[in-house]
Amino acid sequence: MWLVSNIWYHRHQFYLNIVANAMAVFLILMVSILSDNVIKSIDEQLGNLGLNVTMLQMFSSDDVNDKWFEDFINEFDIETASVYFSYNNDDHVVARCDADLGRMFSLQLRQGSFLDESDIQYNNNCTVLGSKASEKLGVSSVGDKVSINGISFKVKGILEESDDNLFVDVNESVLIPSGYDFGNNVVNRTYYFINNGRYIDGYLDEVLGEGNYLLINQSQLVNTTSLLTEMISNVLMFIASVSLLVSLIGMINSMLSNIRARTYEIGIKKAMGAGDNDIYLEFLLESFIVFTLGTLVGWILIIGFAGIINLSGLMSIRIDYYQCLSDIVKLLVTGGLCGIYPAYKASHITIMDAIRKV
Amino acid sequence: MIRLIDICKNYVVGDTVVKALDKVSIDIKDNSFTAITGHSGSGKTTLLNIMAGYTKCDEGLYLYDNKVVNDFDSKMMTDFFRNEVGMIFQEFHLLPYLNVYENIRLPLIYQKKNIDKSFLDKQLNMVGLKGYGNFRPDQLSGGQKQRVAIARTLVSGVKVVLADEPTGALDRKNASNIVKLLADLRNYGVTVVIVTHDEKIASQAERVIVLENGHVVSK
Ligand SMILES: Nc1ncnc2c1ncn2[C@@H]1O[C@H](COP(=O)(O)OP(=O)(O)O)[C@@H](O)[C@H]1O
Ligand SMILES: [Mg+2]
Repeated sequence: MWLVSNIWYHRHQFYLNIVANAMAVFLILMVSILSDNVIKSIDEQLGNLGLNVTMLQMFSSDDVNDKWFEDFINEFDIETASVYFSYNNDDHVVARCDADLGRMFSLQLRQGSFLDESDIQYNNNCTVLGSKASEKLGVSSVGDKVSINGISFKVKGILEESDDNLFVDVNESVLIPSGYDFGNNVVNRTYYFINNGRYIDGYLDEVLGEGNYLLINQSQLVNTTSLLTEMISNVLMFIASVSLLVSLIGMINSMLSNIRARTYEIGIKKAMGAGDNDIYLEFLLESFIVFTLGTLVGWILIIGFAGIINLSGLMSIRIDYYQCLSDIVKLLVTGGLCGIYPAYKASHITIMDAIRKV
Repeated sequence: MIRLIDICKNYVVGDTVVKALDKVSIDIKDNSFTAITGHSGSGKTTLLNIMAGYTKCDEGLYLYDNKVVNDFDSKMMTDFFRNEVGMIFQEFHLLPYLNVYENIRLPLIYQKKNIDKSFLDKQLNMVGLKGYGNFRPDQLSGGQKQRVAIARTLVSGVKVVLADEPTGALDRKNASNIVKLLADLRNYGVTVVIVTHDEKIASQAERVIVLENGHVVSK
């Protein structure tokens, strides 16, 4: 009880410490939580695409025969695969694809169904429209007809609006069976397939020529991006740690000057029979309480901050309480360590230091 | 109880050495009431601080209960402050942020004793401060503060109470009350030593020691 009234009496000296400490803790927790959330949301977005899809894009497509892809599929027993050859037509993109494309990217249909195997096999005059493409073409329901390169296609399905996809932008696309070739200049010649983990680079180098293609695997992509975000969060964490360090040094400094100002109190307590140990523990506990309060305030700030961000709808932040708890424990240990030196100093003040009048 | 033998204490300020105490020898008996007088600067405070153990002498021997205080380590000194010798100061030296109860309880905290409030109330009654337990020092007059300080030594149960000009900051009436309280401490078996330059107060003691320039001139 007297310890509390002790701290309460000296509260003015503690306010700034608590604020500085709270800011540092806030920064640390914020960086930790934000980077955690960013990494998670990137992982999630990438994960939604289906992690096992491999993309192969041709740089120079003129001199390559389309036939190679069939051979490649046979050679490696690939079960799910689709081409995506697109060219621009007025204000939308026409893309030739196979039935597997829908499955690979989990394309959701608002109406109708996706192109099926027989549509592909017989080059049926049917099409599936991306949501934006359907608006532009003025198509509102399945069964309508659209004219592509002068040929009339029946609309078989209309896609839901889908999130930005790193690989294909189907919202703008008019998807038609891959067998159609109007002789237009294809601008994007991409192959998608699910590789069973076999080594294909050698084969591709031989058939397509080294450097003529780009091969990207989604899981590779995920790794690279999370490496990047991790790096950024490490840099942020470093900055936050430096700010914590500065606040800790400031705290040690103010605790030391605090002790000088409290020489009187310490001396009187010693005259009343306080041992070095008693004083030491008193000051240690006191700095620990101050530090804990700072951490608590920082913690409340971070919860408030997350709440505001969530309300504003900029981003949805989830707080990983276990992570925060471990961060806070680490901070408290550091704070406790910081109190040791000032407490040691305090315990060595003598009665004469306190009552000397000179 | 207290035996000082050929105590010397010098203060060095710059190049000059001040001989605050020069071969002072004093015996103070158990449960006695002794007054120390002398002009300002004669070494009274220095002598008391040595007896209290707040500072060590440069030369000489300090025996307390036949133990050599000169050789005490810091643990033994703490024990000495805790259980043996207490000081009453001219400036009271109460802790301003604690109320009266908390102030007089302070010694008990370090003695690791748990004592109920009625005991504290009894001690406050004894010094005439009934009902003042929840006051803060700045709400008390000088005389009341000094009573609190006396109650604090009473609570601590020390065997020797040293008082350095305890009435220096008080008016006549308060002063004589305080001195009476100090003299009454003997009823609890306490040995009392009081420093004063007030002849009247000194005359109330069983024995008067006069200091001059660091020497004892009369016992
Ligand atoms: N801390 C100190 N530093 C230097 N000189 C001191 C100190 N304390 C006391 N003195 C000197 O020692 C002498 C005795 O002082 P003191 O014991 O306070 O005398 P008194 O209490 O009788 O007035 C004085 O000359 C004083 O100036
Ligand atoms: Mg003096």
